Amino acid sequence: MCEFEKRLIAWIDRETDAVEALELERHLRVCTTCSARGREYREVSRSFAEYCEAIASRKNPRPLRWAALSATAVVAATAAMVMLTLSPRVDPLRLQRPAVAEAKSMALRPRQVNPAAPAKLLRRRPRGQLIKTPLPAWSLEPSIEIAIPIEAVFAPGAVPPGFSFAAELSIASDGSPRGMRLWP
Amino acid sequence: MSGDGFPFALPASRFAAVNREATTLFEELRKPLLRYLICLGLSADEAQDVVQDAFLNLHRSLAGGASNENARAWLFSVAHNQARNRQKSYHRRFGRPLEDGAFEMLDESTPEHAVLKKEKFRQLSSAIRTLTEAERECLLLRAEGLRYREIGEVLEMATSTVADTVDRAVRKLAGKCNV
Repeated sequence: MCEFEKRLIAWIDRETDAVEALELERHLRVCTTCSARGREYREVSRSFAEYCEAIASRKNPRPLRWAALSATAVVAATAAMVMLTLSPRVDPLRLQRPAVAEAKSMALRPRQVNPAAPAKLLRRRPRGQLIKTPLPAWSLEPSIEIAIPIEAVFAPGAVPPGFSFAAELSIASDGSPRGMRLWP
Repeated sequence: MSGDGFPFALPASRFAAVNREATTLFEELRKPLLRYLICLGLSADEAQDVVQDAFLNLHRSLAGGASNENARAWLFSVAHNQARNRQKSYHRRFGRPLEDGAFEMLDESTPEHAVLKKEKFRQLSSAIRTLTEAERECLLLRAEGLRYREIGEVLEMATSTVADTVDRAVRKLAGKCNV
């Protein structure tokens, strides 16, 4: 065996120092045996890497599914962020005492109803009729509560000061209205 | 690359820098780590778990002030140890990680190429079975681009031992494969 051949694989892996590498390269120009061995070692190393890639691809053949899931998750997260950002927040104090200048403005606030606790919901809406009547299915769905200052609907003085109405409107998933409740 | 505590009071700029470093390393090393773990014999799901844990640990270490200078060897080391622990806990060995049917998924341009490659992989598969565990692990890490020094850190060997092991393994494969 040629003395340089012992260092061939380390040279292929660039693990020899500069001086040794230079010597080897000079030798490879004149030694056909070492040159052929070098090609052989490179080729077997490349085949081994391809083989590993094939094994990993075979055992993990789901890149597209993962990509699709990731993309869906990103889209869903973005949509949620946009909705949260764009939903106007309502200051409860302003709802109780709206300024006349703001009479034409409407405030939207998403409201989540917990279906597992209808009794709690009824306590928040203490009306006898509602307590006796089972809640319809649509009332358990998430809905949007619209608060309209009373000055925007009635003429000044028509309604006693401090008096207000609450309206609950339920909208189906296709966008059509499913029901409305109005109470003072 | 150590540090178990998570610094809650990390300044925002430092936190952003750590995130950038971790993201860059993740993009660069996720696939090689997965490939290495699967070739060691872990399932795809197990490999994903191990890689996730390794990067979580890396993020904690970077946030704790560790340098990312040696991150590649560190990540492979953490992943390698976790893979070993999992295999011990499931009473499994490193056996048969590279053997069965990798050549079924070949996507070659012509049927002739596919047949040639299939034959080459068959020879390689048979040759890999003759390697020792250390030889196989050294070759796997080398195939993922690790330097001998880094392989030594992962497998807790001297660099000169790694050089000898790689040399021996490549010669064995070349001797048994008609490349």
